[in-house]
Amino acid sequence: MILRGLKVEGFRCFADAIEIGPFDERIQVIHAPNGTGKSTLFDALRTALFERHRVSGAKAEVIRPWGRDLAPTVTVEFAHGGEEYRLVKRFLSSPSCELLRREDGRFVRFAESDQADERVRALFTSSSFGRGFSGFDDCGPFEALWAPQDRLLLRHDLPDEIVGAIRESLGVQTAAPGTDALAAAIEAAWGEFYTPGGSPKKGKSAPRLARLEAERESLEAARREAQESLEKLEESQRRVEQYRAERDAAARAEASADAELRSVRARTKEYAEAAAARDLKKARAESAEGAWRALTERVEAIARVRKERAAAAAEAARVAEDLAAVSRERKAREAADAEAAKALREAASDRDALDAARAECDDAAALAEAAKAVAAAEGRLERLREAADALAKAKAERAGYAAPTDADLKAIRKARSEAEKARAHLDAASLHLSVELVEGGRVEVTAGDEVGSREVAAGEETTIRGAPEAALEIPGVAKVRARGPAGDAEEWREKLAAAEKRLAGLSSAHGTADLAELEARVERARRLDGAVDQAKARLDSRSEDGSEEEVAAARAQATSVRDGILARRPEWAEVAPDAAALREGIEGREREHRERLAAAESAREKAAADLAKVREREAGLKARDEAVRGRVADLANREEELAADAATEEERQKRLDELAMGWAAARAELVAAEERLGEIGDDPREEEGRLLATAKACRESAEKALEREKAEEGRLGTLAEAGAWSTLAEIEERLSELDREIRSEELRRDATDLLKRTVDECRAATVSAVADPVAAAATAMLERIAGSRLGRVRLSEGLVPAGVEPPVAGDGVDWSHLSGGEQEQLHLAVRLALGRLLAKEERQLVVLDDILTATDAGRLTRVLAVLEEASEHLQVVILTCHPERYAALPAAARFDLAAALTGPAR
Amino acid sequence: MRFLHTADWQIGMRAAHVGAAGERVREERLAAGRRVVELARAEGAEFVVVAGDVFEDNAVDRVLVQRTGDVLAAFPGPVYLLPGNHDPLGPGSVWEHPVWGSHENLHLLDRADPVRVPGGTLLPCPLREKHGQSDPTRAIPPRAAGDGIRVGVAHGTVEGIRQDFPEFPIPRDAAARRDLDYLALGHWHSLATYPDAAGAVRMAYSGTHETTKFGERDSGTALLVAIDAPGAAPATVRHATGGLAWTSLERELREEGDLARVRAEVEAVADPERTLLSLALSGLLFASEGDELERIREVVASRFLFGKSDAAALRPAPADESWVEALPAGPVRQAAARLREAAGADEVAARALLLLYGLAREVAS
Repeated sequence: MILRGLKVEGFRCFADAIEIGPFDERIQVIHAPNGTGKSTLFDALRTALFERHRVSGAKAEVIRPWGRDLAPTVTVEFAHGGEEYRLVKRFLSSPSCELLRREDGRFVRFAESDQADERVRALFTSSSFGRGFSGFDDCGPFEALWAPQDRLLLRHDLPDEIVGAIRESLGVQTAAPGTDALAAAIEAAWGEFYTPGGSPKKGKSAPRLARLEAERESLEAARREAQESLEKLEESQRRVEQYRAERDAAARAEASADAELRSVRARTKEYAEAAAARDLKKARAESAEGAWRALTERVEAIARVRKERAAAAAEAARVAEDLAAVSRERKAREAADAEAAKALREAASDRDALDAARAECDDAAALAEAAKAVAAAEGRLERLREAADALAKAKAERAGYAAPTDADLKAIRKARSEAEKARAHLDAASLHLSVELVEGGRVEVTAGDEVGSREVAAGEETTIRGAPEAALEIPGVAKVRARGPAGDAEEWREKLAAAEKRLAGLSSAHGTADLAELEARVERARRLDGAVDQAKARLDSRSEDGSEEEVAAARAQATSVRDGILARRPEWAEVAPDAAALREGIEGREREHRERLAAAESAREKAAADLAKVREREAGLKARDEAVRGRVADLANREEELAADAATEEERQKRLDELAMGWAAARAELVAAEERLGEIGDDPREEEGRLLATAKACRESAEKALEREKAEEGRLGTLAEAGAWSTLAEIEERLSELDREIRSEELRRDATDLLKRTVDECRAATVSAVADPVAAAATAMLERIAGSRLGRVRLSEGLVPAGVEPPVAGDGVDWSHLSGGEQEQLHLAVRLALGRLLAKEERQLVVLDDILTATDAGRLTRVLAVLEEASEHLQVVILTCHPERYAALPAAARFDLAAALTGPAR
Repeated sequence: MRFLHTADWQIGMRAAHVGAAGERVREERLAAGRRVVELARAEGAEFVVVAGDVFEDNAVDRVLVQRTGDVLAAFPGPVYLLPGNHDPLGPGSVWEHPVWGSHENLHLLDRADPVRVPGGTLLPCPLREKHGQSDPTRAIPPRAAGDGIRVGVAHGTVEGIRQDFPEFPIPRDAAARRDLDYLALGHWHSLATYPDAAGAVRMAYSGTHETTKFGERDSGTALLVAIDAPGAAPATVRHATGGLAWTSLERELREEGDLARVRAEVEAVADPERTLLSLALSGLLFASEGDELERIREVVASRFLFGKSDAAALRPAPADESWVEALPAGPVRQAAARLREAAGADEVAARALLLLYGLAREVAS
């Protein structure tokens, strides 16, 4: 389609008629300021071509100019398919439609009313009119070529009609009629197994295959259970077999032990008899040996006791002699000790006199010390009281002096400043009326800050201030009035009054508002505060070694000590003794006393030690004497006991020889008995016991094995009766059948899936055959505009931009991640590429309404070059409010819309 | 001496390979047992020898053991039962069931001791384990005075049968080695006889009395054995005892119409209620015959005691392109072309092509 001209009347902002054209076949720029109606022109073109002339409703009403009862009318002249047309459509009020075709150099009526609507629409699209007013959602094949304001970006897949046209222009085989129905049937078959998202169906809508698999899963569990039952059965069989083997083994072991036992028992009897004989002989030999040994021991004991008794008697005589000598020495030592004790008592007797002299000396020293302490305390007390008095005096003086605080002074300063500021502003905002009388006289101030009469001398100037008015009257001469703006002065007057009120309030407590006076008071108060601080510091310094109370307490304590000493020694009240002289005298006496006492103590200690030693020796000898005497007596008794048989020594020796011979004979008999026992061998009774225990253990083991066997046989019987075998057989048979059914269903599912995937792949290949040339053309344009940085353009199946594939990004970049300017350039490139393909048979109209707002000047230049080149095949109409941006299109036809409002213009 | 030699009854056999027909197959093994007993009675056998594997397993249901015992007890003479590798002697085995003690004519050969029978001696070789690599006939004692006709009864694999690890191997000349007039064997389900150098059959497998699976040849049989005297050549007569037909059909389709002929053949199979049928199709499938294939599937699945059909080896006929050309031009027809290329080696692709054919017909109608 090529647009020749456009006339719009009573359409939105165009109440009057406006006509644009004739258009160039290549490129034109229609420019006008905002609000002039560029987009309305575009809208009118679309409405004329794609809306019914009878369209109505609220949406359609928007094309009628606001507040006017006009019928929107659009006239479009265009060429299409080698024919020239004129379309005249009137909407809303008395709607009409007329299509004319140029024949023989003039337009001839071709169709009218609804037929004209249908015929025009059929020129561009096979789709039907929508219901009601469609707006830009319906512009047929021009959706790809017309870019309304703010809608440059292609956000939705292009209609099949456009894709089909592109495919046709590329010679790509299209899907023949019937494809959709068959594809839908394939989709439906596939949908039996899968959700639209491609996941296997589950739940109620799951295919039969899922139910079969679920049944198989359930049966598998049952099969495992039956299998486990059979395994238990086999295990039970093995256990029974094991218990039987154990029982047999135990029985065999018991029989073996019994046979051995019978043999051992015969040997045991023989062994027992020989052992008894041996034991008897052994007892006899032991008895003979005992008798011989007893008599031998008695003979030896008698001789030993007699010898010991003689030695003990000799020792007793020696001890008696020693005891007499030691008694004599002890008496001499006792006399020497009494003498030394007496000398010690004498040496210690002058200790009391020395203690009394020492006490007198200590009292004298304490008295002197106490007197000194009392005097020192009194001096410190006096200084402390003096400092305290000075502090009290300074505080009293400060307390008696009234002065504002720093905060008060600051607030007063601020209030004063605000008052002065308000006063200055008031003065500035007031009128000043100056009068100078030549001859002098009275002036009546009738309006102003100070109303009343005042006398003015000749040549003297008087000023009357007022706001918003100042007026005076010179009686009989003149009335003078001056007025000015009222607002400011009143405001500043109120501020002045407020500031003065605040100042009065702040200064009333100090009796004056004089700032200098108040500052002087503050300064003096600071000095008095300093004096108080100084006095306090002095008092604190003197109190460092103790407060007044502490010093007074120390003085009282020292006085008490002094008075106590004088009470004990009243003779010192007049003259106190010299403590140092007393100490010197007492120390000499004490030294002599200590030396004498030490010598006496040493002599006494030696005498006492000697006495103790001799007493100890005497006691030892006495004990020994007593022990020796006792031993002699004991040995005499023992000898008497041993010889109680009243036999002679010869008789005893004879008896001893007889016993020795009897013992030798018994020993010989014992050896013979033991040899007999040795001939029989080891004691078989131990072996018999072991065999008995073995046989018993085997019996018990066999019994236990039998018990276990019986119990296991019971379990085995129960398991065998359970019929797990048949259950398993039935389950496996059903499982086998299920497996066949599942394999069949899986084959059906896989075949359905393969069919759908194959069809999808073929369809994708077809789409790709269309999209790839468009993408290649768009890529070339985008590269000219933005360089190679953005890489290859990627399109969706619906032929709208999906993104770009920059060389540095492997997976590509979604177009929404590009900058605003690059998004514009990408979508413009795709639109122009689509336009090139659609214009293969006939030049096509591209309309760009105020696009590329985010594109910088550099790239815009390259865009214009691309547009100019595209106009070789496309008619490009640019609507803009920035004609200067398109100055680089020298060949473009330009239309000033504002100028055209007055009539056709170029 | 005249006796019936049978073996491998496998009572309680699990028949997973025939699915829901398994129960019937199990029942039929017991029914075949009745026929064996009836045959023995009818042929005047003096006794019956079952050479092992009377039962599928020692775990079979006890009620089956009772029923089997009752079937065998119906024979008027003695019946000798040998434990095989499926039902070896052991604690909890089927042989501990009281049924064996409740019928006087049933004799369990549970020891390798000679057993006197009319005209001779049975020399049994019972098995006590499921698996073993030793010759079970080694336990047969040498000929003793009064043995008469010596008949061995054993269960194992005769040397020469192809098997990686032959279970209980039995020498090919076991009858001669053990000085036997006849060795009644069990374990292999197909009837097999082993003539000696003189051509006398002195050892044989009787075959299972009822076929157990597809492809099992010479089964469903029993042997009637007659031996006139020690050293005389035994006379063996094969008798059919099976009740079910296990039929395998493998057909290759070469031209349009073959499938219809296969269906006619299947429909002509006699006694379908007693027939288990396995049909395997290979060769070329014409698109127009998809419905025929489905009909055959239905016939096989519904008419027979058990039926399975395998069409995985069928491939679309290469010359059959007319319906593809009739598809709408564009992606669907392209997809059909792709599937045709893949269908030669891919069952899924072949099935997908058939599906597309069916859908196209549905849409067109």
